[in-house]
Amino acid sequence: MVTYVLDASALLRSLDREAGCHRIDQLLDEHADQRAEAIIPAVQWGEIIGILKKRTGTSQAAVAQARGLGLRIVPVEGLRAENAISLKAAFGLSYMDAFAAELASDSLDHILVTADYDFKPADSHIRIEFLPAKPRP
Amino acid sequence: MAFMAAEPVTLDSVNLHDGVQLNDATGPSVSASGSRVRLTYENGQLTGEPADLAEDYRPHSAEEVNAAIEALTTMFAGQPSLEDEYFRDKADNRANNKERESQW
Repeated sequence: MVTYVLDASALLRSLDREAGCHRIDQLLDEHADQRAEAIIPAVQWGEIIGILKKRTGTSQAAVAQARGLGLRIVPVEGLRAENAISLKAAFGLSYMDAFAAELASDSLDHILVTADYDFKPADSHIRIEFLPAKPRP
Repeated sequence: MAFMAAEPVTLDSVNLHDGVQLNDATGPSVSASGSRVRLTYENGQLTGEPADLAEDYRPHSAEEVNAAIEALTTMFAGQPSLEDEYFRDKADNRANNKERESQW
């Protein structure tokens, strides 16, 4: 079964209903139907919650709905942190992005889905599906 | 960062909802009974309330997922892009890190 590793940019792209959003809807449907799995590193999940909270202030509604997407949130343990820092160094990723790359490196069945082209240097090492670039304003 | 406390947060400074008592031995994310506490920082206050991990992070049906997508996209319809805000924050963090590194 394919495992899709989502990063913050992919999920936020979906909420913005911009280019590639229907692809994320599809992945989440497959996950809910157990035809595929959609997962996200805990550090990226926290980033999404931070953006939603910045936008909505004291309301907990957006955060509760985000949990309702049913993504499996993968915690960071020692080995993942050590691997992430190696990928950060190898591909010039941000520390946070390195956790998404690290999760995608678990298996050839793992595909990182992202709208963030900072991951481009890592596409020799992990499978990456880039969402289409947004049209420039 | 919007959620960084201006002052150091101590156990004594966390406002707790009814029935939550912090555990001095383990820190503000764990209650005295050993259950996890959800921390929220709003309006300069860090608050804690019981977290229902089994319910909050349970698997969801396709119908529930679709309902969540619908609710979220309706909530943010017509607003500035969330993704753009994420990339702005990311760029700001990168610039701040570079600046701090240069000051070492």
